[in-house]
Amino acid sequence: MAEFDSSGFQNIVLMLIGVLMMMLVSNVLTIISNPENIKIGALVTGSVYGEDEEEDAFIPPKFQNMKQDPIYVDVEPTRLIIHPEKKVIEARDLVFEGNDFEQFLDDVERVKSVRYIVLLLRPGSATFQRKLRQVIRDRGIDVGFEPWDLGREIKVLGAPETPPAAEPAGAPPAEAAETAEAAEPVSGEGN
Amino acid sequence: MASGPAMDLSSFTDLMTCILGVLVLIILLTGIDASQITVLVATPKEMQGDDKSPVFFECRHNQLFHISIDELKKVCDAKTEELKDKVNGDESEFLKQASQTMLELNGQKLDYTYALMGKYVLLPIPDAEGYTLESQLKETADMWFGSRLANIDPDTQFICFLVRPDSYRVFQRARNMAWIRNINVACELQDERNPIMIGPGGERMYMQ
Repeated sequence: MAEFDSSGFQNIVLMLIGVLMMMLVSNVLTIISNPENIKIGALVTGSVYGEDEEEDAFIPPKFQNMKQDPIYVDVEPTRLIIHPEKKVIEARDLVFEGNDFEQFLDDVERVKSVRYIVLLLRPGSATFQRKLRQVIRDRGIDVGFEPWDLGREIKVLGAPETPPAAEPAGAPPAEAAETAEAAEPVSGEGN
Repeated sequence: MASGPAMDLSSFTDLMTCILGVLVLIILLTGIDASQITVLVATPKEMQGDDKSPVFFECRHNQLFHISIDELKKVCDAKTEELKDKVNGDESEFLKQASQTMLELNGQKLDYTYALMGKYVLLPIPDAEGYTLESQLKETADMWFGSRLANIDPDTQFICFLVRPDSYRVFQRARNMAWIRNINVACELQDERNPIMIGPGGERMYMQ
């Protein structure tokens, strides 16, 4: 078999490998610097969702809470839903002493240095959310807000993919058809 | 030049070629991953220990309306002077006239009687046209919202958005622009038509 000199080919391959290694390092650095990988707590993808052309202009604000993990509470006009358990509490039940929401606040209060409550405010919940906010403030629990469109799904990472908990008798049907674009609240360790 | 024994580098070449192929695949995968980055922001929590002063914007019909306390004061003062001249010092007539007076400013109706007590009660004018913030990328410092943002001092002021249910999208755009400029933001959800009340006796607004 005729022999041929492959040293030129080897040189090219080696150079290509060098270039590819640099590209790889660049890609890995980009991914590492991605805030998604920082396992942050509560998320406001709502600030940019659905507007692809706007995403490039977005810079995470310095005000974001990176020290506490969130507990999401979906606030509808007449009820609230605690995520990820999807526990439904009717507004009318809050007048009773020792109600489920008070018990929930008792639990959060014990760990308030590392947890905070994020109220996801559905349209029409203005009055109800003011009452909730005051109750949460009175307990000294930190709170954040995010207006959340009607029907927009709330996905919490690690939550079971089960249908919402059974609603109490007489409860209004879930307003959220939950078919719209997904936001991705991720629970994780603060940074 | 003396030449050493010939070495067969074909296995080494095969190895290099395989590594090259694997690297191309890895770069493709990481490249796709890197290009699909979503910027995620941890929800800011309410800050209760700061005493910055609020600058109000109402988000209604997916448009922005600026509520300037200074402008409200000016309009009220001008109206007071006008009424004083009109009633020639007659206090009861002044009060009668005042109770029937509604002022219009920047898409809002202002209840003059409340304003005399230092409380601004603003009713939205349904057909009023606000500012449509189409794109934050195109909003420059010489445009309506951009210029107002540019006048806000992040160290002493924050923006309070009064958000109607139909205006979540414009709020998100406007808040994004404020955040980029390191301006704190507060959000106060409103019902569709309820009046906005600013003044003593109300609930304190906390920025996030």
